[in-house]
Order: sequence, then structure tokens, then C-alpha cells
Amino acid sequence: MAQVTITITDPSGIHARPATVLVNAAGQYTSDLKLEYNGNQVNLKSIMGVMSLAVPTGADVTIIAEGDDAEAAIAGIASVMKDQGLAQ
Amino acid sequence: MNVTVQDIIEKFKLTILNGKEHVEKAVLDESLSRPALELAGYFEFYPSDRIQVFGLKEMTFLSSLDLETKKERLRKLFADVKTPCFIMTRGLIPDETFLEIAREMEATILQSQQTTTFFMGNLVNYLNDFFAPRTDLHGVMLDIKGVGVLIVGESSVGKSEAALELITRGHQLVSDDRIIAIEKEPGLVVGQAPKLLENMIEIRGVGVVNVLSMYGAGAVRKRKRLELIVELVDWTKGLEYDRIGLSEHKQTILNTEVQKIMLPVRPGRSVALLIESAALNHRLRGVGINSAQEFIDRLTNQIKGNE
Repeated sequence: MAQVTITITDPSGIHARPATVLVNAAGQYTSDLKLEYNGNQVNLKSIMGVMSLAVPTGADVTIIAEGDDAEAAIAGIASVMKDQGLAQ
Repeated sequence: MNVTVQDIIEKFKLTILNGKEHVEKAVLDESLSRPALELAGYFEFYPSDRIQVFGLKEMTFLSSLDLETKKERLRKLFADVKTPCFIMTRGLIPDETFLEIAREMEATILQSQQTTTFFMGNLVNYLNDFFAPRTDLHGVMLDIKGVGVLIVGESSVGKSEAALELITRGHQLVSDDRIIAIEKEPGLVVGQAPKLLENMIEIRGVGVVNVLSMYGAGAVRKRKRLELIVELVDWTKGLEYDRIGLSEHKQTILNTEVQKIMLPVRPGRSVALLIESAALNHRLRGVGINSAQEFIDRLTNQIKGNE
């Protein structure tokens, strides 16, 4: 298991576009991926679940990975989030 | 595509009062003319290459003219061999002088039982089909709950199979494989089957199937306005699909922009069901309900509330 906590910097929070980016990035890995915000955990590969958290800008979220490529997934998703201006 | 006077006679069940030997004449202009001003002596802008329609107005005015003037004006009116024909509406019968000049000038005189405005509307509509811009489209077109949907995609992606399933779900086939798209006016494209393909669909392994015989009269539709293009694409990882449904893709057909969506397909996915829901969603938007926008608004509010 691997996990990382990231601060969302996208001014609109995890809105529809950032959620799409996140879910597409998560879909590249076989690991079980979860997104946690405010005590609620959702499947990072499912867009409706991710959006249902309604994460605002400035909030901390935790990505939790479990599986063979857990480490790679965490690193990969974190880097995509930075590249796309979702987090710093 | 050429339309002749004979086609019009057959289509509108017109009576030939004179000149049946010239009915093979081609109609070269889609507009109609009512020659009232010409009968009054004004031939300056006489559009003689158009079909001329005589209503009650023209015929009543004509009967008010003295014999010589009447003959002279009719001769002028019938002078151009390019004029396809002259049509009396309301079952009006021209007098002997009229017919005599028509015989002399070899003019084709026809008669319709319909009222003038009604007849002209129908005729313009009919002619418009021959003169409107047209193009061929590849794919399958159906009427899905009142929405004209063209399904496109690479061959063997399952277009016809999806169409067949949609037909069994109660939707109507317009045309399989090749669709003639006619732009009735900018913004309005209508699809129909080439005569040969009407009611037919080709199913790999089964062959050509007559949908009308197999599924009944409710399973086919002659023509339908094209409102939505659904492109079936192989479900490929990495390709980005619209997850929310907010982005608007369009494809231009002739001069008309048509809404388009990309539908990822893979074995086991019920493509027909997906296409049906896409059509219904399109219809919903047509009545002002945009689910995607509604959701986005909700999300925006919720995020604001969490800030």
C-alpha cells in the first residue's frame, strides 16, 4: 500500500475537467485506487464518485493505492496533477 | 438529378389539357411564377424558364381582356420553349381562345384540382428535393424516438448489428450503408435511402434482410431529419471521451452543422442501448433540459459550499 496527501490548487477545485484528468490517470494502473477527502473515501477510477466529494481549492486530499503498481500509481498520478495545474 | 414535366404530372395527378408531346421537357428552375403582371402587359422581368401557375386571379383577369389583347399577351407568355409548362389550379378550365393559342405556340397546359396556394406549396416542396444540395453519407440512419440518428464508424465496428437491435427495440430504419442527405434549407438536412436500398439492411452472416417484411410497417421510415451523428469508436485506453457530456462536437454536412457524439464500444457493451440513450438525451436537450449542465451547476455549488 502506498499513499500521498496532496493540496488541491486548481481554483475551481476538483471540478468536472480536473476530475476527468484524475480518473483517466488512475485508469492507467491496475492497483486499487482511492481518493479520500474529509473522511470520505471514493474509488479514484470512477468519475461520479470523485466529483461527489466536491473538493474545493486549498483542500487536502489523500490518494491511497493498493496493488502491484501502487508506488508507480501514486507517483504517476501526483505528477499528472502537477502537470495539469491541479496541485503543486 | 433531372425532373421533367412528366414527373410532375405523375406526382400531382395533373390533367393534360394541351401539349402532351412536350412533357419530357426538363424543369430547370425550382421556383414558380404566377404570371399576373405579364397578363397585365408587363413582361420586363418575365421569368419564362419557370413553371407558370394560373390561379383564379389570373384566369379572372384574363377573361376581362378584349380578344386581341388576350391573344397577344398569351402568345408572349407562351413564346419561350424553355417554359416547362403552364398549370391551372382549382380545376380551372381555360377558354377556347387560350387553348387555341396554346396549340399554336405548342405550350403544355396542365390542370390541378388543388387550390393555388396549397398546390404551389406542394410543388415547391417537391421541386426543392431535386434542386437542393445533396451528398452521400456512409453509415446507418434510424429514427430513434423521433430523433434522426446517423450511426457511423469504421466497418465491422457493428453499425448494422446495432441498427438491427434498435429496430427490434421499436425504432425505425431510414437507410443502411448509404444515405442520401438532402439539404432542404441551411440548417435542415434530411436523410433518405437510395431507392434500391429502401427497407433493406445487411447483416453479416445472415445476408440482406427486408426490415419491412420482417418487422412490419412500423420498423421503417422513408425520410427523416438528421439531428445527431453517433460515431462508434473502439474502446481504446488513453483516448479521452467526454465523461460529462458538456463538450459539443459538430460535423458539417453540406452547409449544416449536426451534433456529433463519440461512443466508445467494446464487446459486451450494449451499443443499441447506448445509442438510444444518446438520442433521448439529445431530445431532452431539445426541450431545454441539459442534464450535464444541471449536474455541473450542482457540483459548482457544492464545491463552493465546501470552501
